[in-house]
Amino acid sequence: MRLPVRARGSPVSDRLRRAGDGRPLGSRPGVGTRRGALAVPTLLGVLVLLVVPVTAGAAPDSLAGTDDADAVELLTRSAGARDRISYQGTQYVSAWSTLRKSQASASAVVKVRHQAGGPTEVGVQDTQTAILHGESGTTWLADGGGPVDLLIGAYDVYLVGEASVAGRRADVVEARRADGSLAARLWLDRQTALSLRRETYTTAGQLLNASAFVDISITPAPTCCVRHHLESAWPSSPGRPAPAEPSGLRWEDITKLRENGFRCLETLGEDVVLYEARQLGDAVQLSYSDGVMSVSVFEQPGQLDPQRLDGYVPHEVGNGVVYTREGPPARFTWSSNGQVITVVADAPAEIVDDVLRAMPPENPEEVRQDDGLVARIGRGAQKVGSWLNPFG
Amino acid sequence: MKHLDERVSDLIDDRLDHDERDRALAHLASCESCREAVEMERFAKGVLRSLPGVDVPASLTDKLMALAEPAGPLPPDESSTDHADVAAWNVEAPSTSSVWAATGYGGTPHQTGSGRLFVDRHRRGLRVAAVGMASTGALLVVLATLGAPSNTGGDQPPGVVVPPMEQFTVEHARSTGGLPFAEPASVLVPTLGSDERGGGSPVGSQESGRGVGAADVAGSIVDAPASPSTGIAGE
Repeated sequence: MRLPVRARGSPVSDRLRRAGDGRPLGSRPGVGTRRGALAVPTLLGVLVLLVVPVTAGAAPDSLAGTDDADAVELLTRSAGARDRISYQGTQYVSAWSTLRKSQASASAVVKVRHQAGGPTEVGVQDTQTAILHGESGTTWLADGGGPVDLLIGAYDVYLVGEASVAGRRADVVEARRADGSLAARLWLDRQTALSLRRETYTTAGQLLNASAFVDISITPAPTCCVRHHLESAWPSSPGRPAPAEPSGLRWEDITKLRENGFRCLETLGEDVVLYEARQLGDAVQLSYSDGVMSVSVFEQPGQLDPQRLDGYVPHEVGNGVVYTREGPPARFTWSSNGQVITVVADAPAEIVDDVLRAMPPENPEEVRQDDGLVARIGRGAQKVGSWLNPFG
Repeated sequence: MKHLDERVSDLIDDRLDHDERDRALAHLASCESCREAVEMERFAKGVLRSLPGVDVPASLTDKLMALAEPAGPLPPDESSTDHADVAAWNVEAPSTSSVWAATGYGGTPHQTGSGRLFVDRHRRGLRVAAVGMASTGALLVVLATLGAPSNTGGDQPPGVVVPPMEQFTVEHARSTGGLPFAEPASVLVPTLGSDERGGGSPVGSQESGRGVGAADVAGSIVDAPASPSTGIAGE
């Protein structure tokens, strides 16, 4: 069932989009538009040939406000598919920047290997591996049972037809917004319900992300035989600093963090909800999703030093400055009320707007000046005042 | 003996004759309030002497003199066109204050009658101003010292931060990887993760040193022009 959706398209996102259109405040080192490779159109063309067109038409608008029961059942099966099966194959992944007018995009053909109930290993030419399966050690913070509830809470889902992906029959499920616009299209393996192909779209109908298996080998496997040795692969990657071991946070931990000045927003807008939080050193990672789009917000105590941000472009937003890197995924960082906020978004810019509204940016240069002599005198006066205050 | 009052300045500036000076010193030995007054004035004098030179505008000097002279502003001294340099007040001069000299009022502190009253009143005003300036400066210095980051303890303002963008992006990918329907664009991050370390090299750039490019089919990292095309028939 669909929850009400607020109006999208605020001036902030418009501003960021305009900024991405080549109107930065400063220089734009290292943010070149990456184009020119013909591989993406070529590979997309290959995908078109591999995939049989959807046989059914798009969901009729008359269905708006309802969820297709078959689609919900399929999605529920699909959500648990990775616990039941192992698979490996070749996947094509392409993404466009949230800052649409930046025209930045990136694509890769990756080798994917997943073991039932375990992590997913993603590699390129067997030289780079990454483990993508962040559930272990964390607590699901969102209401409801899991990702399916997020998805059907934010979107209307419909079973719209069938297709073929990598030689396997698939059911096609669409997630649509309240206005009927397409948010995501999923190709779910008919036999296992595994997601074989995915696409997400912005509110303007432009493609945001796309991925599809070019070939895949699926093997049902009992959970007893799942190996977790891949967990050690990530920290040992050459040349990559070992990240601090994150720890999952619960709601009581978040309450304490809020008492110490962390904002820890529970939702971004109405549909994008906090589903996971982790501590990363002195930073807190807050992961948000509506089931399809995902955004991570990092809160760190301190003031941003923009001079040491390499490749980030300043954009005026309100009275402050946001430093962006178009990605994908798009990254944003700014100072706000004694904290440095960093956002990594696989989502439309409107969702980033919600973060900006909740934690408006400051101008780090002005903040730095405020820490000069006047600020010191002010703090000294406050200190003397606290000494003289009998109730303090 | 009466309190020193106005003679404090004369004592500090060594403008008292021998007998007066002896009497003043004898009084200081037994009068704590006068000792404090002398110390205060010495402190103010020291602060003023340590200040950098400031040129006093002619208009300001004239206005000050007009305020001090009931009969109206004094006629300008043709012999002096330069105005006082505040930090250069020659308070060491035994008989002639450079203030007077600079403002064209070259009298001595040993005047009598109305002239003496005027000088005392003027001197008192300057003294109050000097003490006020010194006190304010000292107060600001004390507050600034108390408010310095090293003295604020738990209230210390947060330091300068440069977010570890690469690590944050990877952690975002980890979290998103746990969602079955979230778009897996984040898988590009670890495979293209050199963009941060490469000093701003764009994602997917062949300058990343990975040795991969558009021609590497099995593991290519390629740059794509923005295209809203989905490649899906029927759309």
